[in-house]
Order: sequence, then structure tokens, then C-alpha cells
Amino acid sequence: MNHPIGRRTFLKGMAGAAGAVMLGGACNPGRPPNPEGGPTVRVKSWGDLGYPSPFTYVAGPGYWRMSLLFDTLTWPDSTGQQLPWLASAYRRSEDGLVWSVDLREARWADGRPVTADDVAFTYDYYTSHVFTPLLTGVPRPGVDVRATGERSVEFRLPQPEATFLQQTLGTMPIVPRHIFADITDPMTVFDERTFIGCGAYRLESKNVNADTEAYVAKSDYYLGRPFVRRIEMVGVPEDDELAALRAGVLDGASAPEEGVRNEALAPFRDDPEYGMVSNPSGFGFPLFFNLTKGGALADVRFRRACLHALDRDEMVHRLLTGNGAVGSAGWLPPTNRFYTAEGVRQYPFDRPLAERMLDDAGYRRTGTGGPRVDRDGRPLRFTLNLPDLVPIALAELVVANLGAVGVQIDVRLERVDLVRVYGSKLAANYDMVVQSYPGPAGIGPDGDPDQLRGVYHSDPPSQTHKATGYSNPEVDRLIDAQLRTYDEEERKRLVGRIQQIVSEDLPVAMLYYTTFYYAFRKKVFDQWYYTPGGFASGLSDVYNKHPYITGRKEGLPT
Amino acid sequence: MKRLVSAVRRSPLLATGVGMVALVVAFGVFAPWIAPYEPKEISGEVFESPSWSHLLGTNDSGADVFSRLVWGTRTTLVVAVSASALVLAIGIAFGLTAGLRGGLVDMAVMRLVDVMLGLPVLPLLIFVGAMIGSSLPTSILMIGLFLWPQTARIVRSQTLSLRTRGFVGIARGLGGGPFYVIRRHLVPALGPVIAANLVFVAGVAVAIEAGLSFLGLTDPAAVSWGAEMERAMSNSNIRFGSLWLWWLMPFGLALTFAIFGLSLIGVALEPRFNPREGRAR
Amino acid sequence: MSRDADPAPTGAGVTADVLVLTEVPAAAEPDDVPALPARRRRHWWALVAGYVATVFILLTFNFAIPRLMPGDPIDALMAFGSPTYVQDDETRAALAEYYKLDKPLVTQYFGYLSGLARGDLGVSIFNNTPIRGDLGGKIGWSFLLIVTATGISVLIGIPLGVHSGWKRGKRTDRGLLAFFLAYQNLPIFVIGAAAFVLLTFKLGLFPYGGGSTPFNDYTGLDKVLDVARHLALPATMMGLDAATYQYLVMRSSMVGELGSDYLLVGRAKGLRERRLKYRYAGRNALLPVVSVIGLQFSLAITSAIFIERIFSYPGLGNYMFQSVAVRDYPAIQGAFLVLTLTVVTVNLVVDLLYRRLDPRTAA
Repeated sequence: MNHPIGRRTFLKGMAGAAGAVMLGGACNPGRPPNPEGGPTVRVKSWGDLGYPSPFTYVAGPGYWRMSLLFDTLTWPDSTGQQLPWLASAYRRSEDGLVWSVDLREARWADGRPVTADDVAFTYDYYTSHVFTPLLTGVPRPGVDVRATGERSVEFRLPQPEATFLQQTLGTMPIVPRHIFADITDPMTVFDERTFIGCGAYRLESKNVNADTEAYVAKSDYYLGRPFVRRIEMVGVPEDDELAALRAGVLDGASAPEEGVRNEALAPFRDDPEYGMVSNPSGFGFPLFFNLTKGGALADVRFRRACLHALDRDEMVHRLLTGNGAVGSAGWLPPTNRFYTAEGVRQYPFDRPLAERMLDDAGYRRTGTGGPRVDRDGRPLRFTLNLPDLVPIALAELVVANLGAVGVQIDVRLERVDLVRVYGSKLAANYDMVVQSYPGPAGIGPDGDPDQLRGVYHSDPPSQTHKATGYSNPEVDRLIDAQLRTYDEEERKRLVGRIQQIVSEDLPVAMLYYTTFYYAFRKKVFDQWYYTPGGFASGLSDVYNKHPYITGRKEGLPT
Repeated sequence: MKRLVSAVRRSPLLATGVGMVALVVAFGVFAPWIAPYEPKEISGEVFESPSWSHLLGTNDSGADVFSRLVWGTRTTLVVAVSASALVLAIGIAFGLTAGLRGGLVDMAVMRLVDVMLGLPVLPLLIFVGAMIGSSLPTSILMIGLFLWPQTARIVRSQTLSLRTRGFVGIARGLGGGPFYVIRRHLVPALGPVIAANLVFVAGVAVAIEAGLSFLGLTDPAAVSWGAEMERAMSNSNIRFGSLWLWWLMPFGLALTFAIFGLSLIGVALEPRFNPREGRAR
Repeated sequence: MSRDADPAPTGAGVTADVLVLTEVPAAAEPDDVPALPARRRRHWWALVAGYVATVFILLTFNFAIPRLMPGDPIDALMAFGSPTYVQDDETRAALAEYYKLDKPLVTQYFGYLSGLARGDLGVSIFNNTPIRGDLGGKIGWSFLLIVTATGISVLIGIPLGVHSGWKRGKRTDRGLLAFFLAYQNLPIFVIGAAAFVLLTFKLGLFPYGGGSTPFNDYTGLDKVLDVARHLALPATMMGLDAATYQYLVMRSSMVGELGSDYLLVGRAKGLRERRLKYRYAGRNALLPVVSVIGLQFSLAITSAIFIERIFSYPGLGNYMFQSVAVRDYPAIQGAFLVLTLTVVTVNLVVDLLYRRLDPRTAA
């Protein structure tokens, strides 16, 4: 679509974290800057995603555009580590309650210096205004922020927070006090003032109708003149991004996030002109059971049998020609740093076993090969809700697989109808639903493990992707505990324990993860990578600004 | 019926139309016997090319495209029949009331008809479909609610002309109640005109339903031609090889075939039964 | 094809408008002259009153329908885009207040009407941009598409209709008639999708998507050519679709003129065939077609929704569809309103003009 706030933009918008794996493409971190003055890179525009100010951008790609104009205190590179960015250094106190940050000598686009005051103002501004919740990494009240010098700031937290570095320092775009102090409702201001940031680029043009935007590097940027001199965003039809790359319209293109078949990738794999990077667990497709409905859905034996009945290898093969991986029952994919294999119960495809489990649990078949009924004689017949973003073909495979063991499924597709999808989820008014994840408000399967809170905690911040009706005090305790420790090993242990428990309880079954692919024209720019854990609050897109600015995959220019 | 048979004999146009529609109906009715597979059955690999076991290859889940085409006929038939029945019911109710009662009632109904006819139907259907939610019954209901004015207008004008010809008045004068009049005089006289109108309405309903499905505004779990086209168009693999020829096009052609058949009948019926024709020639 | 199976234009009208039913001429209005796409002749004030009623219905529809749907735009917002945990009830309430969704319906309705009166269509919840501005840019593209398509359809439909009518019953006539009768049954999204995949994708003959080449620095003629290249295929598909209707009306109107006395006189005077055909018969037969062209506006809007979606053309139809996909309340309402109000307004203007043009009502 030329104005492609289409289905995939949703996916993009919800996109979470990533683990980077290189495929093809010259890996040359030390590439000298182009003597001609650096490349112009042309990528897809996602349509009109709002103005690129921190208060009006829309969705993940909108955040990315905004991040070209506005910098955060820290920012990750291809190792996933947070580099000091607008900060020259950051420290955490022994007790983990105080984060102190020193600022670089930077200037706003209008020439005024960036001060510690601006940082403190920014934090307060975010916490005292209402914004659309599209904003990633909105800081929460309760943190005391004060300038301790011209260019030093302190954040005092009420309690330790393992995600503070990434979710706040690495996500919160700093805004100029002298501009925003006068703006009471930043969501309705649409003028040049709101684009004054201290980022590496300036917005040169934005043409809503032609669906183009152009960003130009600032020559006086505080980290040195950005390597990519000009970024052009061009609208292309939603399903034709790869074709647009081939046609020379774009210099880089993503394969569809819900999964891609080899046929679509082959032209890029075979052609030395193109490089490709991938992220093996970009998207997850979890099957939620509504435990509040009672009956079989609330019976863990039934849920386990269902997962054994699903031939997920076949799904990955059929739908993705292998460009994906079977899901872990502990939610997190093997590529996640916090993934645990040990003690996490998995459910490989085993139809006879599934039949036996159902028989043993008292779900008898009516007649030979007939549909099953529960102990009260009610048929095992459920509705499967399927949002717009989930391939219909996936639902058809689920129906066929469960039908084979005598569980009948009626599919109810909820296309172009996200409101209803999440509405029914919120109201717990469904039997089963397959969602695509990074779901709303959730970072990707490969992101920070605090995402498990949204799914498995009995009191999650949002009901949208909660495992409906699931409550386990031990899991609640573990989820709360892991957020409060900075000790990575300890956190891994706690998160591992969560995965073990939820894989036994199985309120949600992760069906599979799809692999993200990004193909690009090597001679234009070849430093693309997927950021492990994502950038900002966990965006899994390939569009981390770090490589364009530095021209490399790791570290800062010296 | 006799008239229809003899009409078919005399008009090749009508014969062709009836033949085409009969073929579509036959496919729908005998779908289980014609289709080699269940429409949602995973009967092969994904995106198989046409072969003897899969006449039109397979789709993105490995279901047989030909079987889906055949089964999709049923959705088309359901839409055609139920939407036109709905239009007929509403249209006749309004048209007869207006025609028989006359006066203020007539004026009110006709103003309503005028206003309804002035509404842009497809944007409205998209709007309502998107907001209220889209499923096959909703689509049919909406189509019925928006298409009736034309029928009502025709019914009314026929009723008026019958009234002016006098025998309705005479029948009433002789003590026939309104229902008697309707049954005995109006229904037989209206029949042919309504038939032509209904055939058009059916064609329009089929096209609209398919169009809405094509825009993603229906329940794609239902096996239907429009929905399958949408599914093919939004699958990026449609760009590769000749997949589009056997996944996308058959549904479009089937749709065209059905609409063409209906419109041939309509065109053939119209001048023949249109009372005006006698005068014009 | 038997003589009396010749399609009456009224019937053809119904089928041509497969997807738009607003302008289907009343088939059997007893007082109508058959060859005309009959509009009921009414007083101008009746037309205007009907128009006002229609507008009011559309406005109310536009306000009420979104509020009848399950869930609300905040649901869509909460469900979207934020990888952090800010979707708490407090934010929700604050946003509802912000968008005034917490007020009573009556208050909302009056707020809505007074906003419209000031030309305020609100701010897109999704884009955070003023809708009026967004729509403003789209209208131009849609207008360009529709006008070009209409031009193409006139160039195809009218000459062929004149020719076909003139040669009534001959082989050319039968061939053309059969073609257009068949073509008009081809839903525009079927032929549009086929043309898109085949001509744009498989053969690469046309640029895909958009109204112009991005970041071009074309000027003058190059710029025009660039826009034309992007416009060519979508406008042609739309034009062909509209041409069928014009052809059918033109043809039957022409047939109606054939037996006229003036032609006889003209022939007797020895006027050239060409002159008779176009200057005399064609001209006289043109009136109904002129009105048809105006009435086809709503057909064009419908076609544009499909064509813009298929070809990613940056117009109103595509905008409306995209807004529907993300449940952007104000944007859907704005697009719907502009689309429908344009259609009914154009229809009113055509009606009024037609009254003036039609010798029977001009008195």
C-alpha cells in the first residue's frame, strides 16, 4: 500500500526484540567512510506514521524515524550492549538505586547546548503529561531526577529495576526544555519546533501524499558526521517490499514478518549484489487457552495433549519452508539469553500419545474415530479466534491437527478487526486464540524476560496478552523478583524457574517463531544488523540507527 | 414456469443465461460429489502446480484450489438467494404499501426511497462492515437493507399502473379484501417484472459480497470466491511463478461467469416482460 | 440475438452499476421516455430537500455507527505499538478524556456537528495528524484518477457507442455489444487484480504503487510524464469499466435517433454519412450520456476504492481502507464523510444541471 498502515505495520509496530545472526553480506566493521561523502540509503516508508516528534510518532517504525532526530542517553550496538550515547558515561550505585549520567557536549538543532536540566525536564515532562500509549519506554512516576551539575544528572529509583538501563536510559528521547516548557499539549502541536532534537539527522522533507520522507545528516553532530549522509523513505505496496528492492526502488527490504518462504528469498540468496541478515526468532505465534472458561480448557492434561497433537515441525516446513523454529513451552526462544532448556517440558508431535492422554483424562471418543466428549458428555468443540495478522493457513493446520485427535475447532477469523481481537481478549470472551507476538505492548520473544510478566503474572500491567485465567503465586513471586536484581546469573536462574513452571502449567502454547530476514544492496550500505534484545525498549526491527551513524556494527567512532 | 420454458426456447440469450446459472447452481448443489477434496482439507503440499490430482493446484495451506472453487459456489448461491429474498421482502412491503395506500404514505415511502437511492452504497457497506464487524450474515443483511429501494419503486409503479387499469378497483368493489387483491391480481401481474429485477439484484449482491470480501470485509474462514481472491492477493507468493494463474484467476473468472449468467437472464427478461415494451414498439 | 432481446438501456443500467446502486434508473416509471436513464423530474426544491435529508442521514450515520461497534478506539490504541507497560486503566481513562469519549453521547454529537461546521474533522488517533490536512492531499490524487478515467471512458465509450448504434445489427455492432455486455460483468477488482499482477508485476510495464516516482527532481514535461506513467494503468482500468455503461447508453440513444425525420431529410439532401452520424444523430443522442457521465461519479468512487487499493494509489479510497484496517475512528469518519458528501453533492449538481439541459424540464 502506498499509505501502508497495513497489517504489517501493526506487526512492525508491535515488534520487539531480536538476536542478531549474520547471513551473507560482507562483514566489515572497519569500512572506511566513503570519500564521496557517505551513502544515501533508501528504505521503505511505512506510510504516514505521524510527525517524528517524541509525542506524535506512531508505532515501532515511527519511533525509529523519531530516533533519527532525538537521541537517548544510551543506545545499543550489534552486541546488544548499551553504549553511552548522549551520555558520555553512566554509573549505577552499589545498591542499584541511583543511576548517574554525565552528558556529552551536544547541541540542539537550534544551536543551544544540551544540559542536565533538559534531561530532568524531559523525565518530568513525560511523567506529567498524557500521551498516546504508542510511546515506547514511557518513564513512570516515582523516580526522582535531578541535575547535579551543568552536564550531570542523577536518577534515584524507589527500588532496583533490572530494565531501567534499556527501558529508560536507552529509550527515552531527550527533549529541549526551552521548546517544550511552553507546550502544554504536545500531541496537537505540528510545527517545526517539535522537531528540534539533538539527534544525528534533521528532517529535510516529509510528503504525506507521495509517502516519502528524507533525513539528512548533521555535519556538526557530536559523535562526528554520520556515515550515512541521507536516508530516504519511500512508500511501497505492503506486500512488495522485496520486489521493490529488486526493482531498485529500495536499498534494503524486510521479508514479511509473519514468515517467508524460500521462493521469495532465493533471488537475494543467489545474487552476490545482495546481502542478507536474519533474526531467527523475530516473531512468535502463541496459542492462548482461556482458562476462565473451565472444562477442558482449564484442564492442563487437555492442553498438554493438544500441544502434542500439533505437528509444529510440519507447520514450520509448510508455511515457512523451514524459515522458523518450533516454539518452546517456556515462551522464550532458544536464542534468548535467558532461555533455559533444562527442566522445561517440551511437547513434541506425537499423535498416539495425544490420543492416549485425552483418553486417560476422560475425554472419550464417541464411536470409532468420532469427535471426543468430556466427562459430562459435552463435545470437545471450541472456537479459535484468529486476528488479522495470523495466517489463515496456520489456523487450518491447527484445525486439521486437533481434528485428527477428535477435538473439533471452529475458526473465527477476526480480520481487519484488531479492536475486537483485543476486546475479546480483554473480556476473556474466547476459547482459544492465536496471537502474533510481539503482541501489543509486548516486546518480542527474544527481548527482555520481563515480558513474561505480561503473559504469566496474575496482575499484569495490561490484560491484552495475559494468559487468561492463569494464576500461580510462585510465578508471580519469581517475576517480581527477577525485576529487582541486577545480578545476571541470579536473574537467569529466576527466569529459568519461571519457564520450567509455565511449561508444566501450559496456559499458553508457543507454536513457532518466524525468522526475520532483511535483504540489502551491498554496495550502498552493508552494515545492517538485528540488535540482540532489540533497540530502544526492544524494537526488533533492523533499523537500529547505530550503524548508519557510525558506519560500523560495533562501538563508537574514535 | 411454462412461460419461462417457452421463453428460453425462443431466446438464445435467455437460454445461455439460464444455462450458465444452472451450471453454477449445479456446482453448488453437487459440490460434495464434484469436489475431489473437502475445501479445507490439507490434501497436498503448499503451492502445488496443477496436476491430475489437483486440477488447479493447491493454496497456501495445501488445500485443493479446485475443491475450494467448487465449494465457494455455495457461498455465492447463499448470497444470491438470501440477499434477493431480503430485498424482495422489503421492496414488496414498501412498494405495495405505497402503491395501494397512496397519499401521504406513498409520498413518505417514495421520499425515503429517493434518499436511499442517493446514498453511495459501497462506501456505506465498507463503513458499516468495518465498524459493526464483518461476517457473511452481516454482509447479506446490509446488502438487503441497502438494495431494496429499487425493487420498492418498481413494485409501486406496477401497482399504480394496475390500479389505474381498474381491475383492482373493481375487485375491491366486488368485495375482495386487500389480501385477496394482492394474491389474485397483483402478485401474478408483478411476477415477471419482479423476476427480472430480482435477477439483477442477485447479480449485484454477489458482486458486492465478493467485493467486500476482496477488501477483507467478510469472514475469510468461510470458503468464498471473494475471500479466496483476497487471500491470494495478500499473499506475497502470488508474485512468484504462475501461481496467480491457478490460485487467483479461477475465482475471478467464476465470479464473472456467475454474474454474467444472471445479467443475461435479466437482460433477456426485461424487454419481454416490461409492459412498456408493447407501447414502445 | 433476436430483435426483441435487444437490451433496453434501463436493464443495462442496472447491470453496469453492478457495484453502485445509487443511480440505477427507475426501470419502469410509466411516465418515462424509455431511452433515457430516467431521473424522476422533480422541482428543484424537492431535489435540495432530498439532498439535505441525505446529508443529515450520512452525518448521523457517520457519528452513530462507530459508537455502536464493540470496543472503542482506545482499545485499538492500547493494543498497539507500545512495547512497554503503560496500558493501565489510568492511561486509558486519561486518553478517553483526551479524545472526549467519556462525554455523554449528546454532547459528543453536538461537539461533532459544531466541529464539522468549522471544517474540523479532528485529529487522527493513529497518525496524530489533523485529518483535514491528510484528506486534502488525497483528494487531489483521487480527483486526478477519476477525471482521467472519465476522460478515457468518454473517448472509448461514446465513439464506439455512436458507431455501434449507427451500424445497428451489423457485425461490428454485435461484436462491440457482446464485448461490452460481457465486460461489464467483470467486477473491477477481478480485472484490476489481474492487470496488476500481469502487467505490473510479471511484465513490469508499469511502475507499481504510488502516484509519482519518489524523490524525483523532474520538472515540467518530465514531471507530467512521470505522473502519467503511474496513472496510466489504474486510470485505464477504471476508464474501461465506466466506458461500458456509456457505450450502452450512447448506443441505445443513437438507435432511438435512427428513425428520426431529420436524418431522412439529411439523407435526402445528400449530406455525408459522417456528418449525419456525428453532427446530427450523435449530437442529439448525446444528452442522456452527458447525464450518465455525471451520474457515474459514484460508480467512479466505488471503482476508485478498489483500484486505489490494488494499485496502491495515494487517494481517498486507499486512505479510507487503511484507516479501517487500524480502526482510526476520526480518520474513517472523515474519509467516509468526504467521500459520501462528495458523491451526493455531485449528484445534486448533476440533477440540477440536467433539469436545465433536458428540454422537457427546462421550461
